[in-house]
Amino acid sequence: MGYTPDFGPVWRRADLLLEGLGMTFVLAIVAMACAIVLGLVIAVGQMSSARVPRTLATGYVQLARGTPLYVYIFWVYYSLGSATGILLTPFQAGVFCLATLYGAYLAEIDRGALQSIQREQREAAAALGLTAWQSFRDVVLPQAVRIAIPPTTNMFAMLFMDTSLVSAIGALELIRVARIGSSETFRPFEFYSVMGLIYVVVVLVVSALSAWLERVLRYEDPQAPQRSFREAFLERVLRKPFSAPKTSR
Amino acid sequence: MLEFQLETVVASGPRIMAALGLTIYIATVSMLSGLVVGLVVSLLRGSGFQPVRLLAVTYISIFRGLPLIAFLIWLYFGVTVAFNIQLSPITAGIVVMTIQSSAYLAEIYRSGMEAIPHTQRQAAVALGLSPVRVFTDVQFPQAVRIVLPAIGNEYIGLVKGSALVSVLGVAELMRTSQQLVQFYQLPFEFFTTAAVLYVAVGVGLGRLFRILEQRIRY
Repeated sequence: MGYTPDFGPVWRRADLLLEGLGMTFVLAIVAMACAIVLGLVIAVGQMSSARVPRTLATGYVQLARGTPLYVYIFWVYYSLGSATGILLTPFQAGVFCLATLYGAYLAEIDRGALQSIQREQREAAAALGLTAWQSFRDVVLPQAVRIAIPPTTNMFAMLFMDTSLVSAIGALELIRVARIGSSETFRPFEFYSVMGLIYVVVVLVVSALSAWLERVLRYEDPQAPQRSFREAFLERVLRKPFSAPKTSR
Repeated sequence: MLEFQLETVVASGPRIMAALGLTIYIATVSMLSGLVVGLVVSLLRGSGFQPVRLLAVTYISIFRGLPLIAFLIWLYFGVTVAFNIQLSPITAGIVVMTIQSSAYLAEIYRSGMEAIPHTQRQAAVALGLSPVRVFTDVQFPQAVRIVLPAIGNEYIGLVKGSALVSVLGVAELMRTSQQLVQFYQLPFEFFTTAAVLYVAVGVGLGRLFRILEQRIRY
């Protein structure tokens, strides 16, 4: 009885944890970059007036939102290799799975942002002689980006958490290195506590960044709804994206 | 080229179905206990006493930022060693998923209650209803309708999340699929089957909750 935690071994193997944290960040950032591009393409597809891209994009989002990431990672890593002969490293498989699922999540954010730009603006752009592409690139997109950045940042926090699942196929990220460290030193409680703390801190910092961006990027429009940083931060910290019921407020 | 060896999958059908049963069991028990714990957290969060409120917010924000798999490993391989607790892997899985879902459900409850205009409560009080009846007859029936889709989503999330309990060695759907993959060397067949089953359960639960929503319309 009476366990005395000893965090000494954790600090001595801090290099290992930092390496894992670095890998987690690289994995998350690369996957996020791919997901942002994919998400925008899907969002534009969903809003297309042509039937085929619209159906494809909508179907993709629905399928992706129903797929459990963990099973998907195993499916891609083990079975795609044996079925098609394409062999992916754990890192590549992880990036692929995270990017394809988060692309669908981000598409919802992008679509909301693009649709929030009023039709009059596009009409005005057309009246000024801008082509459809020019109007999208120079009028709609710059405004939509400002709206999409805060929720996209919040989605990054979710993606950061989900990189933990890539540990199951052997990527040397935070979970994996903590497991190595704890079996090396027989200090599982200390290693896993620090590991958990790192996740929580990163997610809180990214959420705070997202809430801050919401205030910074807000338009100087007196009629735009204004929330304090505290309100915006609390909403992010307390709710899972897409899970909260829609309230009329 | 690839051939989908359906016979092998069908031959393992009973084992896969038993594993699916365990998956649904873990998700359902976690959901039910999460609903209760979530209600408590939600009440604490709405408390008039600020330290209690802060405690609830801290609870929710910590468990929102902790990946499920990290939480499972921390509890099952870390805490049990440090505090010399005997915990079966299934219990550990259910405890972790209960805590995590309670954190989300607490806020779902709150937003459901907040969505009901204050005027309704005032009207009910004016009609002479007791505080309990205001809740049971006026606020609760409306809040349930608002909250039900979010609860359904959470339930589907728990079914998907329960796949992570395989890390602790629980022979639910994911773990069983991994074992079958190793035994038959057929990753494509068994992982595809698992994925299809998870998606099917998700779609089925989605339908079920939509029917429920329509039932309680009044």
